[in-house]
Amino acid sequence: MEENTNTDKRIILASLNGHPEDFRMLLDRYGSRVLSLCRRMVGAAHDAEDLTQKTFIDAYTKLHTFDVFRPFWPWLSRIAVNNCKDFFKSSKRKELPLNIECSSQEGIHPVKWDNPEKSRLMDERKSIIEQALMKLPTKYRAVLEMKDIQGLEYGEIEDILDLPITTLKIRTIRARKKLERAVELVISEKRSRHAQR
Amino acid sequence: MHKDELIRRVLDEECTAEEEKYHAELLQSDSDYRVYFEKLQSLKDDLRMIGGPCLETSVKDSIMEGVMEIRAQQSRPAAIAASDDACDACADRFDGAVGGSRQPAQPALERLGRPRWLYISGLAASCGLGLIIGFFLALHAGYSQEPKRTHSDSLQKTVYSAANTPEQKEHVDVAGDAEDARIQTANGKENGLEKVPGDETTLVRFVVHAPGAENVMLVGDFNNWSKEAATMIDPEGNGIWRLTIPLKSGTHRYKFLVDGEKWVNDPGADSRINDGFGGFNSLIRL
Repeated sequence: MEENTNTDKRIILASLNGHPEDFRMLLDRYGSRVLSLCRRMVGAAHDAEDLTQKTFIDAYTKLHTFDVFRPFWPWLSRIAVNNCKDFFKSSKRKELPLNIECSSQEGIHPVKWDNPEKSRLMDERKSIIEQALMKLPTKYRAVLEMKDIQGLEYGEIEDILDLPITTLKIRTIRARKKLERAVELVISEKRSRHAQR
Repeated sequence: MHKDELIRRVLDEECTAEEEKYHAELLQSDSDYRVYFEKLQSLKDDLRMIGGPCLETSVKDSIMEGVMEIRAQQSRPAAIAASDDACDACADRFDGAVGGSRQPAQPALERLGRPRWLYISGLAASCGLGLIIGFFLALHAGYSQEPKRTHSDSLQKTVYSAANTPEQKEHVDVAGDAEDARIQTANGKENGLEKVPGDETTLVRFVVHAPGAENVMLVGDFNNWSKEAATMIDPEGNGIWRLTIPLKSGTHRYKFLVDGEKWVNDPGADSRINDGFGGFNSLIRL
């Protein structure tokens, strides 16, 4: 973590001091994580991509205000989350419709395993998880994305979402419970579709 | 402690020794707890594996174009911004306003297409020092794909590579009704560089047509011939790579490095010089 902070610091200082092209390195390091976070929060791939672009442009505009001795990712995530919230406000939508059909493989790059059968099972499992995630309200998806997918600490998530840690922990418990039920539901739906053929 | 909270603490690796012991006991004694815990543990493992989408290179390129535009706007002196609307009038005054620093368009320069350029300048000479500020305005209608308006008001010389293909040569506009001018910049900050008297810096835009390339680097004596220091960008994805950098007055040698292996000279350069390895370096004089 400290090594990452030092590297980010060097890149940020270079970007601010006559080498704006170095900002590209931050894109390479964090671009996919921001995209994943935005996808988790707003659903549609093209919206997530637009919000990702906006997040990095906003980050560059405000880069001179960032304290380089702090980790970059939580600061960047916060910009992303705020942009997603503004997106909901402007689209007059509080939540994604819970029955949204999500192409779970869209933009996801599956891991290739040596064993094709294992690879197929893993891809299928990932597809089920993605579909189950999209059935959850945004607030639960967001906390699962940050805690269980990206592995952030509660202290970092507290900074990003501006919620007390106790609330986050309760929300995590509920999110995992809801996800477990959503996975059961997706599996059950798949079986019914399969049985109808 | 509630069992849900205990499971959360186990999954988040926050347990005390006592809590771990209690958890182990429940796994043994409570089958519902064990089944539920194993489901959540499996889900957490799945989430860790799930990863996420990758950000496409084209999206990153768009973001970087935005970054460079912002950087350009940040570089413009505040005094110049006010004269934006007066650029046409400035162009008329240009001939009289600038002393000996203005130079005619260089016939060796060939442009890719017909860019729309709008440059403004507005610094005046200070008494006693005779600082000369030029004004450059280039407007030309036509070719729609040319680079957008550039940022810095002190952008002076644009170095273009001539087209390499017959199709591109159709778009080449030599001289025409746009004029290049050499502008001596005054003291002050620009692009984060602090200029000192006698150490004038010029912003130079390098452009090269390299369709199909994956990356193009600008390599020269100004960056110690580093193959990694100056990355050119192709924001429109049309094979026209560009980069603007400040260079000190004098003569500079450079080349373009395409895809890490092909060295390309600039046909539009001021001249060439033997590179000592059987080839040539391009020269630019400022």
